Amino acid sequence: MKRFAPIVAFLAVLIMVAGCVPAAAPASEMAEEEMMETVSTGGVTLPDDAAPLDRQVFRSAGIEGKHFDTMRNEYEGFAYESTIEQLAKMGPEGDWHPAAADSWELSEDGRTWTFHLRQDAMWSDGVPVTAEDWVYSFRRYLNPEMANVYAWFLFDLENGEAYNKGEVDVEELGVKLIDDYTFSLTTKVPIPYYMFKINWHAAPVPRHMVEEHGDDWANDPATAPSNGPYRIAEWNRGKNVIFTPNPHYTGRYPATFEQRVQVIIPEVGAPLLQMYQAGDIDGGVGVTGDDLVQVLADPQLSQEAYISVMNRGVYIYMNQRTPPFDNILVRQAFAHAIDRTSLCDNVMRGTCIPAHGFLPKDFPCERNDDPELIAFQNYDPELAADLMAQAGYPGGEGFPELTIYTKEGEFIREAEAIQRMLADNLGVKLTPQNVERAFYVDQMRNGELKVALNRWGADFIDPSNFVDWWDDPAASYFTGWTDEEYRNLIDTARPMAMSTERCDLYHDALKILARDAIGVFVMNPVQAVLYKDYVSGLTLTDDGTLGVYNMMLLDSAYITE
Amino acid sequence: MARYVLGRFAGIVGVLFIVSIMIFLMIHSIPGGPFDAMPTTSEFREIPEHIREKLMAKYGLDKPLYVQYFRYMWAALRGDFGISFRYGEPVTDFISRSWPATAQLGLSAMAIGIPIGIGLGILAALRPNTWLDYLTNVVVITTFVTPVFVIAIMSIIIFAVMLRWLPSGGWGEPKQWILPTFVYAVGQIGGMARFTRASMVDAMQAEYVRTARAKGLRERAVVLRHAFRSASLPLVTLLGPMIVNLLLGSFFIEAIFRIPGIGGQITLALYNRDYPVIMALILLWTFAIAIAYLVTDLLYGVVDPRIRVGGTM
Repeated sequence: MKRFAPIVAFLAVLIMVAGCVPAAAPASEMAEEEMMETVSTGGVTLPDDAAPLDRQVFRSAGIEGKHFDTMRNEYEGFAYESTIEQLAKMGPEGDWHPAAADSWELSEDGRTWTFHLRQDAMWSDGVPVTAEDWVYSFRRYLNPEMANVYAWFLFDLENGEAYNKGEVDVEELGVKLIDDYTFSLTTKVPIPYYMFKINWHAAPVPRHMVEEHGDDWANDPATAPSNGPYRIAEWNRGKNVIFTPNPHYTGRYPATFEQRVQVIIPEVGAPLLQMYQAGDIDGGVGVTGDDLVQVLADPQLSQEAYISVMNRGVYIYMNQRTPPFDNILVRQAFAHAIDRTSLCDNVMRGTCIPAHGFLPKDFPCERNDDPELIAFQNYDPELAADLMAQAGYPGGEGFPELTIYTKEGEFIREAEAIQRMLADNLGVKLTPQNVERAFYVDQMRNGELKVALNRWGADFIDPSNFVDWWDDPAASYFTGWTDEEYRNLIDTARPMAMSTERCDLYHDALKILARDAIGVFVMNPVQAVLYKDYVSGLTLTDDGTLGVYNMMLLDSAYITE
Repeated sequence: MARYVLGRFAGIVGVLFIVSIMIFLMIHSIPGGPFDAMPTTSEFREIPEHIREKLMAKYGLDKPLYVQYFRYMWAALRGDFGISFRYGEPVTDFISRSWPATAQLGLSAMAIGIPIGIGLGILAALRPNTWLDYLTNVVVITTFVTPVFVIAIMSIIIFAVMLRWLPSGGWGEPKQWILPTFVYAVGQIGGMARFTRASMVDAMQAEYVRTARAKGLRERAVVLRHAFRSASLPLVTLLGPMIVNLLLGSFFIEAIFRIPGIGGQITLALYNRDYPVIMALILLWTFAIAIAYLVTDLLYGVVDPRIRVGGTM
């Protein structure tokens, strides 16, 4: 036994060291003694139950970006929620609230949006934010020299695409400076939901910094001022980004926290749920699948979870340029062969909801309960087998053996269950295979990929986002299918103001997708977003949910005792 | 001796060139490229063709492969390994900021794991087929067969989630070092102990050990100075590449514990088709392994004077 002594001693030391390390005390610039009321550095009087200022720190997790320039490439630039102020913010109920713009109006032809900026706005380095910054930023976004991979997001602007391709001068672009605090955006056609597009993607870049430092301005917090409630204080690559209140912020949403921290996680592999449970992050953790099952079963976690159906449609992609999926009967057979209820209830243990249409539940214009829609793709194994026989593959005979792809580790179990159902009901043999993104894209582009369990997630909250690309040969998920009636419906609906009539048109278009089984619509995933119970003051919907696309969630949040 | 080392170095340079060509051809032949689809987004969208062309031209990816290769090598010879597509910073900066964390983690894991592994191996060998041997065997085999990510997640659940003694990850404060170092070290114990035990069992039965005992040496001296010295020869073989692996990091450990090192980066770089990072890391890896084998070969001579490389000393 004596020989084990060193090891035992070592373990003991290890445990002691672990136990003795003091709890992390977040640094605060204002760690003063208790005051009668707690006023944040941002100037907000916090409610009575607020913890002292040195504990007003909110930590969330996110992957590392390349830089802070969200007007170069949204997904390479990062952490923008904390540092930019959009023209307006969407509240939990989907309504717009003034932010960097005090007001805005839409011209009578529905194409020109004029924004009146808040006149006292300043960058966090004290330089005023003017309409010139905004105009400069929109032009830069589409500047051909920038080679911005997201440029297409503003192709709706008048001459947006032409300017980006270098065909016209910048003056022709639908972005106009009116005076120091007013500018306008003009779109090619009326786009009623344009507020969402620009406010998701538009942030001003600090022109004075870009002109001085070039694109490098966004690599260093010192040259990357913010126009929002927080500024970037530190970027510790691979570890975290620390935001502190912007001392020059004068807007409507002053900082409640003394610090916001984005803990940097790797692109794959970080155990987010455990990080949250260990108290290393305070919220914003979205969990799905098996983690969701665990959250729902846990008495503590289930209290902290905001459950919602994700704005994602999961469907079977079928390449319709070549056999066998150029045959509508085959596609319809597939559509009727999948028991969606069993998939979500049994296989996925309640982490998804069955769907027979493409719009996610509760999305604008969603009518997935329509019996007519359901009938196009309802579970009916006998009908499915009949259709398969009519298509010339009785009992699956003669049907090629195919691979059903999934990507990035997502939907593996779903694909296995679906392949089993198709085998049982149609006698076809599909082999599920999960591949990485680059391979998936490549195979889809060159037409090698025949069938996949695919998903679409909302870029913005309008049905057009879910229907516009099905028949567009330039789209990633183009299946080879086009249809004149479909195109007419969506072209008519697109410029209309939101109304029942508009939804009718979209619903008709969605019925065509379901009827001809252009995609086999399967389900919408459910997710829980976790916030610790000590994170109070979240801006929620009247029902206490997070809302469809809520840009104001943390605006009044604070840490309680 | 000097001549031998110089010769080996020339060989290493040759190997690096061959590897560079192979890797270059391989990474460019896998389907998909760095600018095929939006990076790091939840949904992928294709990049418009006119923008893709511009990006490909910007990074020189529109040139024929051999031109790209020579350009790359010409720059690399001058210490310029390009700019990471994913991180937007020079690869050399990226490696020099990431490597220290990996190296520290590897060295500490080594400092703990190797002595414990060797110690357990010796203990087991001294009392073969007794309860002590069986017990060590259980410990060793358990750590040997349990995947490191299972140990990592378990340790987070126990020490960070349930007991709340340690943070779940991150890198910077000493208390963040404890879990990953320990988990990483545990992963080294198994292999080390098994090897040590096997060669020690052989050595303990050798005649020189009996001679040493007959001389009246204390058991401690017999085991450590005579048996272990001879038994450590196979360990030296094992140690070289093991040290390199430890210094270059582990994907799972670094991803799970959020360590900003280079361990996870080859995998991620492949995933992102980040060609400059893939090239630089594989070349670095090749170089380190080649050096490790060279050092191993030289160490043989130190451990066992019968082995001398490069002729007379």
